[in-house]
Amino acid sequence: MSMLRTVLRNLVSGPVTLKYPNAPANIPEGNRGRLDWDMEKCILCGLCQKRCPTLAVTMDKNMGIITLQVHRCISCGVCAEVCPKSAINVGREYSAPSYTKALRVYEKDMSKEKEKEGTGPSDAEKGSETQT
Amino acid sequence: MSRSTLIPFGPQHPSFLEPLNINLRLDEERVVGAEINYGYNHRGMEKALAADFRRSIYLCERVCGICSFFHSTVYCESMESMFDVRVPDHARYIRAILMECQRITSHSLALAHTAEAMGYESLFMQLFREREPVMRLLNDITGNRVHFSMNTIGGVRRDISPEQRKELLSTMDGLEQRFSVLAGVFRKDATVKRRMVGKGVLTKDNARTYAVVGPVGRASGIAQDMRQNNYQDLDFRPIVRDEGDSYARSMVRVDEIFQSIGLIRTAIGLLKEGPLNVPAKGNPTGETFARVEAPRGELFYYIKAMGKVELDRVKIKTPTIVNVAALTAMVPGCEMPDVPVITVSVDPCICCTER
Amino acid sequence: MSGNANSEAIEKIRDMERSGSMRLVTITATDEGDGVMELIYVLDRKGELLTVRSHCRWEDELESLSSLYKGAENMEREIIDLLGARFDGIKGGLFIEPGSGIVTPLRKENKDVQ
Repeated sequence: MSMLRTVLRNLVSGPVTLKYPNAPANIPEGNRGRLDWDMEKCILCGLCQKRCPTLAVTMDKNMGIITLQVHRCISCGVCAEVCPKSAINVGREYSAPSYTKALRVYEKDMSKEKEKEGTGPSDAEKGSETQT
Repeated sequence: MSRSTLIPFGPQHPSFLEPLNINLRLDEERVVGAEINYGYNHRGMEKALAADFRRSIYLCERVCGICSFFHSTVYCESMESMFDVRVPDHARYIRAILMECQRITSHSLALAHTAEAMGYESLFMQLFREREPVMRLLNDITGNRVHFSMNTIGGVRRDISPEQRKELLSTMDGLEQRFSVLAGVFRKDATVKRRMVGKGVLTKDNARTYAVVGPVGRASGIAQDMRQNNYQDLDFRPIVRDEGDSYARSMVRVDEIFQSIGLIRTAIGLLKEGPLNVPAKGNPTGETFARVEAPRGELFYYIKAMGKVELDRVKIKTPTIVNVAALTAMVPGCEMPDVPVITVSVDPCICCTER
Repeated sequence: MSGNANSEAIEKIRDMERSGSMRLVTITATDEGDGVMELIYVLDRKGELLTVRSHCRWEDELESLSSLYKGAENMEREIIDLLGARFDGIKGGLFIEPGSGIVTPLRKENKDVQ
C-alpha cells in the first residue's frame, strides 16, 4: 500500500534526468571542477609543478609557459592551496571532454619583466586549448 | 548412482558488478561444493603506493570507489602516528561525520543490489532515490561525489560551514523518515523472506575459522567492531545477530543505517570551531599498523618507511578477502538459483580485494 | 613438523590460541634484501593487536597456517604470487597469470617492473 503513494507521485512528476551538455547542469556550489591560472599574479616559482600528485603541470621558467595535461588533472586543488600568490582559480564547471589528449597552455609575457619603463600594462594572460 | 556437474558461475555474469568466478559442483539441483577464484582486476596498487608518500594520499583513495574515504583516513592515521602528530578534535569529528555519511551510501547500495538480485527492481530504484540527496550533499561539502580528497597528513582540508551543518541535519531527518518505509519492506515482505531466510547459513565456528569481519561476522554472532575503539565519546554499541543467514546480514545493514544517522546527529552537536590541520615536516621513519571499520569490515594498513620519500612496504588488508573465502562454507546445501542472492548478501567488493 | 623455517612461529601461535581465542587479521611479508624475508603474522584478541615475526630465506619451504585458520590460504597464495615464497601444500596463481612474463614484482631487485 505504501508503494501506491510512490506510484502516484511518479505519474505526476516528470523525469529527473537533465540533457547535459545541451542543458545546463545542476552542479552544487562547492564542486571542484576546472582549474585556471591567472598569469598576472604568477611569479613562476614552480611549487605547483612540485606538488601535483599526478604530474600534470609542467613549467618552463625561461619562456614563462605553464602547460596543463587536462586528462591527468584530478582536480584535487593542491596546487591552488600551495600557490603563494593565490594565482590559481578553482571553478565549478567541469572541463569539456575531447577526442584527443588536450593540453592547455598559459603564457606570461616575459618582455614585461625585462623592460624597466613601460608605456602601460599589456594584457599578458592567455589560456588556449591546443589539440595534440 | 549420481554424477555431479561442474558449472562455472563465471567472471562475466549479469548479477555481479565485478568479475568473480565461482565453480559450483552440483548434484541434480543442489550445490555440494564450491571453489572461488578471483584475480581478474589486479592493478599493482601496493607497488604504486610505495613510490612517494605525498602522492599516495590521493592514490590510496582510488583503491576502491565506495569506501574511498576509509582508505584515505586509515592511510593518514598511520602516517600521523609515524610522524607523531596529534590531529585536532575538530578534524576528528569532521572525519567521523564523513565516514558515517559514506557508510550510509554504501549500505543502501548493498541493500539495493540485494533487492535487484532477487528481481525486485522497484525496491532497487527507490533505494537509489533515497541515496541521491546524500551524494549531492557530499559533493557540496567536499568537492566531489566519490573521491573526496579531503584528508591530508595532519587533518582535513576543508571545513563544514554552519549552513551545510543545518542542511545535513534536515537531510538526515528526511532520510530517516523515508527509509523506515523501505526498511519495513525488507523486514516484512513475504517474497523477500522466502528468498533469504535460512539460506546461506554461516555457523559461528566456521565464521571463526575463516576469520570473517564486518556485517557478515556480526550476523553470525561475532561481536567485534573497530568503532568501539575510535568512537569513545559517541556512545557506540555494535549490532549483533546470531542466525547467520542472508536475512540476518541484510537486517544488520538496515539497523546500521539507522545507527549511523544517530551518530551523525551526535557528532554535529559536538562540533566546535578549531584548527583544521597541523603541519607535518620531514620524512617518515618506522613501521605502524592502523585499522578502521569500513562498511564491509575491518580495513588494515601496514606501512614501513626508512626515512626517505619512498616507502619501503605498504600492505593493505581489505575485508572482502576473508568474507569471500567463507562462501565455500555458506553455499553447500542450497539450490542453484539461491547462489546469486547469497553472494550478493555477503557484499563483495572485488576491486578492494585485488587492489 | 620441525625443520621448516617458520615452525616455531606457528607453534607460538598455537600456544597463544590455547590461552585465549584469537582472530587472524593478516599475514604480511617484506623483502629485506640479500635474500632474507621477514614474515609477520598479525592477530587480534578482544580488540588488541598481537604480532609474531619470523625471518627466513626465499628458498625455504614454509609451513602453512591453514590447518589452524582456513582463511590463511588466500593470504599465503598472495605472498607466493607477489614475493615468490613457498608454502607447503598451497599453490599460487591467484593474482598473476602464470606464463605472463611478470614474476614476483614486489621484490627489491624487480624495482622497475611496471
